[in-house]
Amino acid sequence: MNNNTSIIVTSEKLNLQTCYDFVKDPSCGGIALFVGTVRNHSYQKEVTLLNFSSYSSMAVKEMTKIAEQAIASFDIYKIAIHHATGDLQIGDIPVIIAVSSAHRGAAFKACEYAIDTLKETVPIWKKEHFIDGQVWVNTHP
Amino acid sequence: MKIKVLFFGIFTDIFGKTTIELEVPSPINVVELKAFIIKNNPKSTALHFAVALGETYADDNARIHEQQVVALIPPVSGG
Repeated sequence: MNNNTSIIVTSEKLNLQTCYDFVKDPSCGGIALFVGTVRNHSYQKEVTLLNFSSYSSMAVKEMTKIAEQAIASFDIYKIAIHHATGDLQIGDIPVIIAVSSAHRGAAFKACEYAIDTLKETVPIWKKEHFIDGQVWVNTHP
Repeated sequence: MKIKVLFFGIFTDIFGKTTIELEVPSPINVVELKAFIIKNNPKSTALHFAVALGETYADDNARIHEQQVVALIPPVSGG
């Protein structure tokens, strides 16, 4: 594990400050944060909660690959990728990505790369619960 | 030969469990295993999935060994 990466899959509530504190550094001129939040609707239907399940050991491996690739591809210093599992209510935070870099451009790009790739490759699944039922979300492919 | 299969996401509903011991022809590679599982699908729904061996996405031609843990990865939706 790289000292410049923080990878967590947890059933605990995610902590924005923890991610921020991990990536901040005197050498960095900026920190980009992506915070995923549970939305109250999906395809015009009212969502009551989302359940996230994971293949946790593999999810950590895939998230680690993303973080290491982000460091290799962009001029960034540190990256944190934290994902929550279990039942999340509207407004709760399923995912946080924090990236620090000397200049803002690299942090923005790495942050977008990380969330886009996470949604394509990390073995985590979301089940949307509605008032009248539930459905597995199949985003990728 | 026997392998251990792990189910996740929608597959836990389709197969009604999170893991099974499965008797499969030997030798077998990933693409052959996928065909075997689709053929023996308990439901009529279409199955789309990747296969992971050793917690890593496996190529179609990767060989599967006796007692190996094989994870079926339906389309992911994290984030």
